[in-house]
Amino acid sequence: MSITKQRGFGMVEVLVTLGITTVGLLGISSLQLQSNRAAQDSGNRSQAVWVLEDLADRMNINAAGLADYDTGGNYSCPASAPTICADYHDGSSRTAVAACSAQEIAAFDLWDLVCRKEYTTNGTAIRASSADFISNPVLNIQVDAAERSANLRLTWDTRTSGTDDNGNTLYIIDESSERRTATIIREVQL
Amino acid sequence: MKRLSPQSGMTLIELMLAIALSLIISYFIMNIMVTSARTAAISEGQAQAQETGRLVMAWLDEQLSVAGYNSNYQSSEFQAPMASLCQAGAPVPPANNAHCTFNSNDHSSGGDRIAIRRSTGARDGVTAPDHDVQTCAGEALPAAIVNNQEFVIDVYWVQPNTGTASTTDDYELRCATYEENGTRIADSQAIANGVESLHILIGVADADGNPQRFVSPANVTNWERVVGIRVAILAREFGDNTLTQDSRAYGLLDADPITFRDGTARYVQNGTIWFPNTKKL
Repeated sequence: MSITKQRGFGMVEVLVTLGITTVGLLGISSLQLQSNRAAQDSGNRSQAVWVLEDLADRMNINAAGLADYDTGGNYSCPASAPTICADYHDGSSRTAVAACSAQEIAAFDLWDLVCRKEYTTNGTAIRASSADFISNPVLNIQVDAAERSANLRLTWDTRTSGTDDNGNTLYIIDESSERRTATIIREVQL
Repeated sequence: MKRLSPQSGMTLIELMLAIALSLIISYFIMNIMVTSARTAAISEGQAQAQETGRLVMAWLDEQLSVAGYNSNYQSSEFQAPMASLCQAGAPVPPANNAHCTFNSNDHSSGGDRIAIRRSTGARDGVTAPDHDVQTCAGEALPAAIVNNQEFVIDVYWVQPNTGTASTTDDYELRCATYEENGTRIADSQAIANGVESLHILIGVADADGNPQRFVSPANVTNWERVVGIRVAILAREFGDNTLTQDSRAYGLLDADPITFRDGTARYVQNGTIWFPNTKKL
């Protein structure tokens, strides 16, 4: 019986193995990152659906103020809170509000749905509204007062990208500000 | 017999190098595995909380929007869409006579309770939809109630944490249907698990039916002028340790904020529900 001399791996073989393993590991970690982003976006999306659902019901309740829901382009949060038309707790005390006009209710509803309140309790930020669970929501509402219909759009920041089954881009990439956003649109008839 | 050549093994340096290299490689692999397990747990916890929030809100949206419905449309009798505020010392559901809207400023007893009024039975010549001949949990209503198109009151509440059951059985959203005289019609049913608190505001209108504001149930002066309801629920995951331990505060409408110092994923779901049946024509 002959015994051949043992030979180990060559350096090159080891390096190649290392390289392949590294590429594989990188793939796994990027997959993880993607799944993280997708999970976050699906959370945002479900919240966004509810914001529009909530808004449609608020518009139905405040039918007299329908025209005041028109945002004329993207809604931007006012620097200071408008007249508040619902009892609230700001982290330190509870406030019962006075009666509002239809215009005031419309202004409050928009602010309440998408603007951060920045309330805190004992130094901890309070998460209360949809705005605290969705990244940078932007409302855009067009109201057709004569037809009593409205087109509601909600846009939020996303970190995923993709296309739907028909090949349409689902996410708009704003090249100038390097933001990726997703939008859902809802038509309502009051 | 052939002469054996002396075996030459690895040198100590080679061995150490190999060990060091494999340590480094396995460190990175383990790292990725651990992160991936952690990420999966976090996603799952948050998904559970969100799922509960969405499910409960979608269900409540459907159930509550029948408030104020009157199947006997020829009747001029107007019934308030919600039962008025509980008197002090009123029983707690599922006991009899607990058919009232309850206001709480904190979360210890599960928060507020919703009590809506709706009529039952069939309109003339129309087969009644299931909902109009069933309790809030889908059990058949007694024929005596359905045939007389009587009003019933659906009560929705969160079972406070008794501390005895596991987290999956506790924190339940429950509902029961009552007759106007306060008799509970069937056993109360659990609707969803994982709801820690429920708070509501009531939308009140002026005499012309125009909404004015949303107020705490304690501040409603005229229950006949209710046009809608705003609901906030605090949903939680079934486990209790997916996030890193930290202080997190949540606010439900006008209730005292609640602060947790734990690793449980929670989620606040808000919704406004319009009562179309209260619309002035």
